[in-house]
Amino acid sequence: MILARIDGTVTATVKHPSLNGFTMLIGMQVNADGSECGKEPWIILDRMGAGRGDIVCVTSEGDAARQLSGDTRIPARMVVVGLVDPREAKR
Amino acid sequence: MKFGIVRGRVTLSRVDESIADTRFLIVEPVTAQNLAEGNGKGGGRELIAADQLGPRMGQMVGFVEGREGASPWHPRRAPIDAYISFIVEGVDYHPPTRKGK
Repeated sequence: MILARIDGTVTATVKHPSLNGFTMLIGMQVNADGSECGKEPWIILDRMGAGRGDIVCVTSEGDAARQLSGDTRIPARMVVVGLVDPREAKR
Repeated sequence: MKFGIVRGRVTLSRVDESIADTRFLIVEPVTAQNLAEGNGKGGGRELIAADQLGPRMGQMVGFVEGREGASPWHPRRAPIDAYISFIVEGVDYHPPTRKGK
């Protein structure tokens, strides 16, 4: 799993039907000190109500997406599994 | 998933029959900086992604890489590792201000 900082959202009406019911967040992978990893942001599925500025814990395993969506055909890997406690986000 | 811009289409003269009806598009991944600037540029390394949604050239899409690219064919198997999952309609993106901007 990775940490990501949520910087926005993306909307789509033309999409694989398995994506219905998820919010699609835009997040940058970060280290525990908040520094960014990589140049390209991730599109991350969420059902936990994460929003801009949150640091979230994201699984990058497709089977997790299949489990959380209940759809074996879902073409996605990155899913929020939890929001990091702000008091613990910095070390 | 990541953001990509559709740059073209690949036509295959021979292809594995399990994916014979599939469209293949050339996708250029979009960096955080280009996404924030909304300048229509990508900036990443182009890849080929299977498509069943039909985006236009230059349109922004979300694509998945890895084994999950073949998930839509489940329970059949497909030799595919990238798939266009949605066509972007709107982006609300406000990363922290970067130096040099």
